[in-house]
Amino acid sequence: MKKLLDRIRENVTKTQVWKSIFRHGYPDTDANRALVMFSNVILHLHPVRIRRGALKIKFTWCLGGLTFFFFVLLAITGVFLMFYYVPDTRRAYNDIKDLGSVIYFGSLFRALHRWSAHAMVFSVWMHMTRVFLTGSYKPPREFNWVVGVILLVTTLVLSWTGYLLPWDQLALWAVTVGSKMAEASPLLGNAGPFGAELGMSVNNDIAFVLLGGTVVGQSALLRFYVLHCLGLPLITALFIAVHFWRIRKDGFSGPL
Amino acid sequence: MADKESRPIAVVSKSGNSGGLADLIKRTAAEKIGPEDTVLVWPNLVYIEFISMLAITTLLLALAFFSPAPLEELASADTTPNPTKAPWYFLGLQELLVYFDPWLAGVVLPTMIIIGLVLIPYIDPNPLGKGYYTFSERKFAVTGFIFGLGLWYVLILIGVEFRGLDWSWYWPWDDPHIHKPAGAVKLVDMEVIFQNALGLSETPIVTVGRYAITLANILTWALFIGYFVVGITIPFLFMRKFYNRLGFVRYNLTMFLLLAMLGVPLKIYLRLLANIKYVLVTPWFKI
Amino acid sequence: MSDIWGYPYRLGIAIFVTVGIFGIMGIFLGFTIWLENSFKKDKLKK
Repeated sequence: MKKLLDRIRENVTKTQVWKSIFRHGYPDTDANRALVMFSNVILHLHPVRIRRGALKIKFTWCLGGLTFFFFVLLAITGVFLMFYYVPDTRRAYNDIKDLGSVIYFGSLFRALHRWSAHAMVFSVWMHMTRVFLTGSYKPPREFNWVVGVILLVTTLVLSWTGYLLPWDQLALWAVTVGSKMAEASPLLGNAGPFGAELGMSVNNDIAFVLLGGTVVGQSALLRFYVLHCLGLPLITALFIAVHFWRIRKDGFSGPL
Repeated sequence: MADKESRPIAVVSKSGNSGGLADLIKRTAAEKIGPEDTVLVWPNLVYIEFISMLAITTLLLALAFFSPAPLEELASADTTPNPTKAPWYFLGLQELLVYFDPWLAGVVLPTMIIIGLVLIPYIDPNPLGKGYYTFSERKFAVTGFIFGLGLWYVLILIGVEFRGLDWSWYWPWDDPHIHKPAGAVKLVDMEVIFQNALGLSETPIVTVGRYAITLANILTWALFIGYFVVGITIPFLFMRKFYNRLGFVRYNLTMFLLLAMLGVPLKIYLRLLANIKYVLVTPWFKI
Repeated sequence: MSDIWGYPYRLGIAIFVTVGIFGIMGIFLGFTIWLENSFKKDKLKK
């Protein structure tokens, strides 16, 4: 049986179709294992060889990789959810209810989306803690830590903007709490220190910019939807690319 | 300090010429790169990643199946739920609202946290501990960071578990549906404490616009600024080695951030144990 | 504990905050020290 499978594999990997896609054989020879790292766009994030010590799970606990995996999972489940959701205050809530009842796998995808979101916030904190405890931010890797903090902020804002979209009581008031804090910004908010002196009112302060209005309403929903589904994922993806690039260029800081 | 295992990507562009690439492959496959022994990423790293992805997907599917996403009633601007809670990762900040005004708890402190995090690699001069776990070689850094982490998680924990109706404190054994009586304790400002303790007059020494500056008020300014000044000066005087290692800029940044971070539980204690509401009062902001 | 804003009550909260912070610190520090020793042992075994 094994010989049959091996023969099939040999023949498949020698066809023109295979070679046009993959440009290397199945990675069971060292040459192919090196080639696959060069010619596969997803795998080329990796180096060809890695120090044996760096493989230890108890060094990284896979936290960075898991965070990225959660991000990808959120993107995929998010696209699915976007088919069935319209950011209109008159129907957003009913769309979410439909996802939970009428749409096939709607409940599963929404639950996956929500759990991945919480997991991603948690794992990004844990990843930051791990990087700190192993001193992997020390020179020459300082800037990658800064990029990581930027990613932490985008993760939190992504999570927060997504929180509003179901348009239920929890969403509305959780975002209201946040916008009240924004109103209290020094200098930029109408209720914060020196805000009134600088001409900030409910109609032109930072909370107004954030919400597109004075209350959390249709403008806020649309703004948060665009930020959550398009703006912030693009920014996050950009910084993820920088983050991975830096790791490859500076090398993995793991043990010998 | 590029690591040996990061191959220059430019080599791939030469892949039309099989000679160059074949040589590189032969070298990476056959030789040991560098003094440490290395293994090929395929399959050793790739399969670890694959297994962890499978495991975590299984976990997420199980969670999704047993605990579907919640949905409360339709949003209504008329009814405010009690209590209104931010998402769990922001509950730490919402808990801080009990002890600090919104501009501090919601804007200044989070900004300082972010700036402090960003500055960490630049104010840490210790070359030890790079790439391995150690507490013994970097006690100050690890303790400081973990203190901040502990403070953050405790505030989140309180916000999640111990805050109920009207944001009152509910122990796990309290009935969450019964309102707690409103605070009967009277909170005072530090300024008033100074006035009463030292018998100072309430007439202002000088008035700048809306700001009537009394002697007690000046004393609270002195206390607030003095906290930072004294805190920054003490290690400079008694732990000179520490100062020399960091240098002027790093030392001041580190001590300022450290004192600000320690100031948060300090103010929490002041309010809980001494009934002090504000340490510093001006018409524009109160700390 | 009839006066829930009374001093013993708020003292309880203050103690909870203190114990909580140091408890979490203890967990992370313990974890760090355990990992430090675990890697040192690996190095010796090699």
